[in-house]
Amino acid sequence: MKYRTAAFLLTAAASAALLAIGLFRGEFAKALVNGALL
Amino acid sequence: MAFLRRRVYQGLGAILPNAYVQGFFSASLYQGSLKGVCTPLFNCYACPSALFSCPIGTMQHFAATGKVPFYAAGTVAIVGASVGRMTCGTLCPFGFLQDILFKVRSWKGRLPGWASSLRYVALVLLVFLVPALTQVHWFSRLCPMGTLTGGLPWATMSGGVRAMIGSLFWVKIGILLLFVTSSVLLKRPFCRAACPLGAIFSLFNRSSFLQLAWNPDTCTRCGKCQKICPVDIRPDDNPTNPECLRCWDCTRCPSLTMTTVLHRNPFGLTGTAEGRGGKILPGTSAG
Repeated sequence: MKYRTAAFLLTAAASAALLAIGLFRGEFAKALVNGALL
Repeated sequence: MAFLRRRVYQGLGAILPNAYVQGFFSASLYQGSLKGVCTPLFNCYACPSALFSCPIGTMQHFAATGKVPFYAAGTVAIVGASVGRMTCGTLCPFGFLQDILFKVRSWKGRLPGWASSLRYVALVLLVFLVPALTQVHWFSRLCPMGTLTGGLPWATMSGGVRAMIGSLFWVKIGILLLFVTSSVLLKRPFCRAACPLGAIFSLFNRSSFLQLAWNPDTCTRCGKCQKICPVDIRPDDNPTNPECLRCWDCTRCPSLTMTTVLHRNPFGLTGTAEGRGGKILPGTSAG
């Protein structure tokens, strides 16, 4: 049970870090351009 | 009641991300800022009414341009870490279509177990590896959801697009027809054997915040949960099965319930069953 809670916290933190890096690198705008200009 | 509620959510999952209806009348794509947002759904952003981006299309675009898709991967991972595959079961429009098609009265078959590993092959090969090597968006080119909501509407609306139709278009139509017809005979064949987004989400089922809990003390192993399961699994064998769509249909049975990783005893039992993964606490009446 503790393992599952720890695994959740770890994956949640890693996911948030991924998203933060992506937003910091301006990937939102790149996704926007790709999505809009298909 | 929960089943009907899921149908409502699936309907909303199909309508809301495709609310730019004027795209069909003006034969244009929505190009506002929402298009930068990746939905945690399998929803083509080439659909004339699409408001949001497809996370798989975005990841594939980054792979084709030699970049790491932090933003799209982070968006999908946050949803996966929170609810596992729940968006597949409750919101995905293509999953909704397959659920409806399976209601058609016909002979019903079963997808072999090995087929579920094909979705990981689709993810690695068609979303990352081949686009990175060829700079061509191969998954999007073959995607049946893209054909249904992007390719077919555009071919109907635009003479320019019709003039560009080549042999690849008919391959796409063939793939779409394959999944549409097989959805009548099998439970969610695309989600289980080909969906790369489902492949990513399924990696999170074991550790997601929302979990399915099973009570071995009250379960009679009757197998009704498998009959109503949209992906034909037995939740009582493995509540954290990566195939599980977290649709919660099986929670109609009192031996299965929705819980979170923080709940140690979701059934409120005193010293009997832990509830997850069918594990029994040692030294208890059940253990």
